[in-house]
Order: sequence, then C-alpha cells, then structure tokens
Amino acid sequence: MSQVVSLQKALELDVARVGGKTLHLAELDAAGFQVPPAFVVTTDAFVEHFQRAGAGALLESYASPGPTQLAMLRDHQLSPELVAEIARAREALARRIGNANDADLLCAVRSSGADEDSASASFAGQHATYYYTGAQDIPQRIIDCWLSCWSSQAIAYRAANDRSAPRMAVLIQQMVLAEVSGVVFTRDPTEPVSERLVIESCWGLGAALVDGRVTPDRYRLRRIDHRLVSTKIGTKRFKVAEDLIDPEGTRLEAVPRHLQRRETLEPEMLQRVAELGAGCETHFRAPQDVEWAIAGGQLYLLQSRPITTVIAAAPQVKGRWVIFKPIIENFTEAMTPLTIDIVRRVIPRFGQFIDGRFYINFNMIKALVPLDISDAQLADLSLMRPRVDADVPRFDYRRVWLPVLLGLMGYLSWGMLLVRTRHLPSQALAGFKVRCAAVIADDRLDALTATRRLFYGASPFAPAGHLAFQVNVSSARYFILMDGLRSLLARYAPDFDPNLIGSLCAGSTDMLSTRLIEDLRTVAKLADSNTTVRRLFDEEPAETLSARLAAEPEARAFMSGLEGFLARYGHRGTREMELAAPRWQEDPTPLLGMISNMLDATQSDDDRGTNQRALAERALVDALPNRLARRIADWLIRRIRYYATLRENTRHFHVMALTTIRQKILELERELIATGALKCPDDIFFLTWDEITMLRGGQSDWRDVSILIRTRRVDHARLSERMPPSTFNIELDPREADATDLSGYCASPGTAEGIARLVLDPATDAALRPGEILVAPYTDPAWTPLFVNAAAVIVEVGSYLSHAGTIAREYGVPCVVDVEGCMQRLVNGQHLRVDASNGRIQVLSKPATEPAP
Amino acid sequence: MNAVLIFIVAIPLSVELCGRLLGLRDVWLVRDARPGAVQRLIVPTLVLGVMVSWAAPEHLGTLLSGLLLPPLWQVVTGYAMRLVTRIPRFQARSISSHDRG
Repeated sequence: MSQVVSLQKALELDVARVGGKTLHLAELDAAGFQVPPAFVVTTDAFVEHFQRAGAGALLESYASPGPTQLAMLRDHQLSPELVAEIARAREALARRIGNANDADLLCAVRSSGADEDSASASFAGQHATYYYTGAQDIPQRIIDCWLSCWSSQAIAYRAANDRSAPRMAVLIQQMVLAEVSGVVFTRDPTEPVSERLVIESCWGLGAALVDGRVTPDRYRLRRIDHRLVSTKIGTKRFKVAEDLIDPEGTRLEAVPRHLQRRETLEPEMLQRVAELGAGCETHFRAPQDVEWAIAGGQLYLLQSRPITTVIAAAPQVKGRWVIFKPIIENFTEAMTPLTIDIVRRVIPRFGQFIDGRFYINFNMIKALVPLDISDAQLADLSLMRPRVDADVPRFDYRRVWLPVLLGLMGYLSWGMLLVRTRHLPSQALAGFKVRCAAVIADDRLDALTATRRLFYGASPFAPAGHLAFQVNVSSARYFILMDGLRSLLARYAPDFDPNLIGSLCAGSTDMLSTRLIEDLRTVAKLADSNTTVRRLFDEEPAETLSARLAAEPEARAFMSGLEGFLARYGHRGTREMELAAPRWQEDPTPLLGMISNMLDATQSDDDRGTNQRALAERALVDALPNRLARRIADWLIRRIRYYATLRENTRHFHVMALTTIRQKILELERELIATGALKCPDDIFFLTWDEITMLRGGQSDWRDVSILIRTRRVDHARLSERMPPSTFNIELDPREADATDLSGYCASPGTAEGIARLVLDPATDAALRPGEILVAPYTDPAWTPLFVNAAAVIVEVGSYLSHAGTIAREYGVPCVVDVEGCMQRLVNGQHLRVDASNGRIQVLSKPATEPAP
Repeated sequence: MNAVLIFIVAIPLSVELCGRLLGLRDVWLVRDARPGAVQRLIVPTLVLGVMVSWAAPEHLGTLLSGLLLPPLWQVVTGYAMRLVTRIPRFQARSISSHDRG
C-alpha cells in the first residue's frame, strides 16, 4: 500500500492513517468546498521511519526522546523510496494546478495527527506547520512535523487529554498566497451561549494571525442570519507576506501605515466567509474553527476543526488578589512572557502575575491596613477608587501592632530617603541617564543583571539620581497628604466641592510629561514654519515620511529639532512598561504621526487648566474662612503638587531603565538570529530567561522553541483582548449604572457634551477635532496631544493618579477613569454627555450599530 | 531613663541629619537648590549639638549607637532585599489560564 496518497484518495482511508485534519479536508473537498490541492504522507510512513531509526519504543508510549535521541532522529533521513514517492506526488500536484514549472511550486507542510482535530481534542497549535516549502525542503519538514509530536507542549496536551501513543500523517498542500486570510469560529469561543459567530482577519497569510503576531480585525455576526453585530478594527502592524522576496528572510513584513487600521473584509466577502463557516458546521454538525484565505478574489478553505475548548473565564487562583493599578493603567494588554519573567525576578512574593497582569496579595494589604472596613471597601481603596460619600473609616486598634512594627522598620529602612526626597529638583534625577548609559556600555551585563543593577544595584547612600525606583516609591506620601487635605476640607470647608481638589493640586511647571508635549509642540512648529516640511507631512505616507525628511535639505532645521527631542525623550513610546514595545528612538514614525496630528489639529483653549485652577482657588477662599486651616491647606496643596510631579517624573526614568533593559534584550536577539537560534524579530519576548539561556548555550535550538513561541503568541493575543478582572476571590460592591449610562470615577471635574471618538492607537488614528470626546483603553504620553482638543476624556482603566487623570487636570479637561466596558459599549459618533464630577457618562444619541454586549 | 530617651531621640535625629546631608549631595550640581539644602541642615545640626551637650560624657556611646542605627539598618536591609530577590522561592510567580499540562 502506498504511503503517499492524494487528498481524494485519503477519503478512502481511515483517520488513523491520514489524520483528522486531512480527513476533514478530504470530506470538504468532496462536498464541493474550495480546498487547495494536496497530498498526504500517511502514518504508515511515520511508523516505518521511526522503527527504521531504532526508535520504535517511542511509538508505544508518549514518553519524550532525550536530547541525544532527538538530535539523532532529526538527522535520520527518509527512505529513498519514500522521498521518490513524495517527489512523484508533488509533480502530480503541480500538473493538477497547471504549474508548468513545478520547481516554482511552494507548499505548506502541515501536521495531521491521528488524534488531531477530533471532537474532544484539537491539538491546535501543538504540532508544527511550515510554509513556503520548496521541493528540496519537503522531506526535512516532514521529519520536523513528525518530531513535533514530542514537543513539550504536545506531550503535556496529550497527557492531559488522555491520548494514546502518537501517530502522525503529514499534509502537503499548495501554498495559497493570500492577500487576506483569517479564522471563523462558528460559535464565539469566549461566549459560547451568545449565538454569535466570530470572524478574525488580517493582511497576508493567516500564519500571522494563528501565531498571534497581529491583532486582527474582529467581526461578530448573528449565527441565525449573519447580521453584523460589531466590528473591531485591529492595528495590523505586521503581515506574513504573500510574496516571499527573500527566501532566507523572516517572512514578517511591516504593513504600510495607511493599511494598518483599514478593514480587511468588504461586506460581501464577510458574508461569504460567514457562509463558508456555516457550511462547514452544517457538514460536520458541530461548531467549527475554520481557517480560510483569499487569493485573487477566490475564497479558499484551508482547515476546519471542531471547537473543542472555550477560553476559560478566569484561571483557578488560590488566595485573594487585587490588580496593581499603576501598571494596568499604563497599558491594558497582557505582558509578554519575557517581560514577566525578568520583572518577577526582582519583585518579592507579595505580588503575582496572573494571565500577564500584575496582582498584589490582598491578604497582605488587609494585614497592613488596620482600618475597620469591609473587604470590598478595602479592595476599592487598593484599586485607587475614591469613596467620596463613604464614612471616614475607623482604626481597628486590635490589628494595629503589625503595621506599627512594620512602619518602624520601614522608617529605619526608608526614613533617610523620605527626608532626601522632600525637596528634590527634577534635575537631580538626571544622573540616572548616566547610569543607564554605563549599563548599556558594560558588555558583561545581560538583560537580567542589568535589571538587578538598575533597580537594586545602587547603594542606599548613592546619589538620588541613581535611585529612581526608590524615589518613585517615596512619592507615595502623596496619598497620605491627599487624604489629609480631603479630611481638612471636609471638616472646615464642608461646602467645597471635593472634586475640585484635583484642580487645586494641578499646575506644576516642572512635570516632564507636560514638558514633553511642549517640546513636541515646538518641533511641530518647526514643521509648520517650513512649507516643504509641511507639504511632506500633508502628502507623504507615514511609512516613508521619516526617510523623505532625512533626505530633504530643506528639512534640516526640523530634523535637528526632532533629534534634540529624541535625545531627551527617545526612550519613551506607547506601552512603555512592556519590554517588547518599541521606543521612539528605534522608530520615530509614531512620533511623526503625533506631530502630524498636532499640525492638523485646530488648537483649543490652552488656558482651560489655568482657568479651572483659578476657579477652584476662588471657591476655596470662599469656602474656607479659617486662616490657619487655609495656611495648612495651602501647604498641603504645594506638597501634593510636588509629590505628584515627583511620581510622574520618576516614571520618566523608570521607562529609561526599561528601555536600557530592552536594548540588552535586542542585542541578545540579534546574536540569536545571527546564529539561527531565532528566526523572527520579537520572538525572544515569548521565551523565558531560562529558555533564552539554553538557546544561547546551544542546549536547544529553533526547532525546540518554535512551537512554544507560536503557542505563547496566540495565548498572549487572546489574553490581551480581554480586560482582566480587578480582583480574584474578592466580591466588589456593584457599580451604580443603568443600561444606557456608564459610570467611572472622577479624575478631573467638569461636564461636557460632544461626539465620541474611540482611539486605540494615538499615532495611527487621526487627530481629534475640537469638541470631540476622547475614549481610550488607557493613556500614556503618546496620547497627550489628543488631550489638547478633547472636550472630555473617558478611560477604561486608570485612577486619579494615572497619566490620564494627571494630564487632564493639567489641561483642565473633564476626565472619568475606570469606566468598565467603555471601549465595547461606546461607538464612534455617539453624542455623549460626560458629568466627570459625578463619574457618569450618558449616551444622548443612539449608536449607529448595535454595540456588543 | 536618660539613656533610653537619648537613644530614642537619636534615631529620628540621625534619619533627619543623614537624609538632609545626602539631600545636599543630591542637589549639589543644581546651583539654585543648593542654598535651600544647606539651610535645611541648620536645625538638625543644632539639635545634634544640644544632644551632645546633654549626653556627654556618660551617654555619648548611647547617642552614637542611636545615630548609627538607621544607616546601618539601611545597609543591612538593602543588601538583604537584594539577596532575597535572588532566591527563586521568594520571587513573584506567574500563572496563566492557558497553562497546559
């Protein structure tokens, strides 16, 4: 019996010989679906190959081969008879698709395990797939597919699902050089009861989506009639190109900026994809996860497998945990595995990363805060949610001994630093830049030792400029002083609106975040003052703008201004607490996007912040006649302003430390790519430090980590889509909100009405028009130019002290933070009323399309 | 009794004095901030003078121990923290709903 059969012949064999994936495709091909032509190497060849290699024992159990045996198996070639049979099948495939020169035919080599894509276990992402495979590489790729049976993930998956010993066929399919591709889940895997199907799509080959390299466009449609329910356009920065220009290259290409936020599917094609998914579900009588691709206007079905799992609502977590707000309010996506692995090694065990987000041990907080309040109230305090109407909590004197003891020890450990940082000018922190430069220059330091050096390496008596992390922690006194000011005003000025306290404490002239915007505005003015530069900004696509500006003699003054800006702020960028996030100094394109936004924007009233402050100060004078209380209040306000500035400015230096660590990682990545241990940029961020060390030491190679990286990329993409729970195992008080309104917490007071503008990426989304309301998942410095024109700001996560709150108060813009679900429930173009003082958002006009629940 | 009192008062005095001295060093290159930092040294230095005259000669050792406690404590806890975070069982953990196996 032949060990290589065509897809049509595969239908005559059973699943044990051709695998679940092949059998499903063969059935669909026979049913008339557009399936790319293919042939299959059966499990007989698999068994014979490993028996011939003396590894028959592996076929009887799911034990893993050791490193020596694995290396031997990799080098053990296919039998000449099988190689000849494969070559004949490939020639037949070339003839069938009318390819005269079969040397040009590229194939996808895909695993098709005997227990794969069954109703109970899909093995999705556990086994290998290889694209762009030419004739000479097919035999080795087949061996690589077979060996992926014994990857650590596949073994674990098999053990967990009680699978039998491995048997794997390999499907060799014509490569569909797709312009657009994606996945359709005929039942939403995150909400199985929702009666919706989900279509995800991206530019180029679907590998980028399946590997989690891009955030796809996501369409939700009703299962019953395929009516579109919601659309979420992803920022598709990369694609796996349909044309392989450089065969040795990484395949991953940057998507032109103008296409990154463009919809990949027209309505008609969207319906065809939905029908394709529904057709597969009808055929197999079970919900399906279908991979598809569009090439030359043709819609191809690449794979269909049953949906075997749904994303767990939450992991099983022991203990009680509350999310650490200062990180989540800077970016809401999950952290990458390498960022987590490096950061967790310098953090003591009072914290824990759950699904890529950092949580604090709530039981520890409870032991340290001797207040007589409920767990829900304490969790609210930990989440920095103000409880304006709540009674002042009482001390629980029975539990006071531990905080007092720890407080005394803390005073001895931190007292000197607290004294040192009472009057610390921001220039005194500039020494940290020298420290970072020294770490970069020191070749003996790797990313992990650099992290330890930058965060803990300095002696307690080193200059404050070397202790940016500790100085940041010392600025937490802000909370105590703010609480003191609130209590004072509640006692002596009961008529004073507590929401105005934020405006009173704003107005620092020394804050680096606001100075950054002023400096960027100066650079934008340089662009505006030169007609050639201005024309380039108006006409040149973003992806080529940087190169054109560099080549343009007329743009010298502008480029010099930009270089000066990058020298001061180049270490910053979007998602800057994430080590995988690129910085402006590496790619200034987002910065040019921000300048372009500034050039397009009609400036709103820049004095809103000053006016708001003046109003608040007048209200305080009227409400607080007691002169002594006034003087104390003034002192508290000055101190709060100082510590808020210190906190924001030290963050500038934290980010500098993270950028330094990132540079060390990128050095390592270049080294690993040069040796072939890694293939694609950014893959390093999906490995742990120990795995990288093994790669570097030659104890493992690309084949050991490629599937691991792919699996983790997919996990990361899925986790990043979800807003994480604020707490684990703690019942929070329900929010006061009705079906049409959203609620959050006031970070900057005031009311405003305007049109909603949802912004996911401040560099690619167009500038806000004056009077529009900015709706964002979170904000960081890259968002700040949008505040200038915003009538109000609504942020999904954040707190009073978050970047959004701090900047909104500086600009006098009403701002509501911690508005759960605002990115899902609000849509562009809705008319909103924002009552920031009371933390309420009212939708005045109906949405254009029904939002997702 | 005096010895206990001297020891207790010496601790915050040491924290203030050392903190302000280090604060002066922190701002030394920032010309505008230097005079303020020097001024902030006056009060703790005067208090130290009073303390020395009160404690001398019999309780000078006690005063010295109180003054040395905060910097020594800071050195010990600083290095202990560094060591502790190098031990895997004291480091933060990471768990995921996607953990397999």
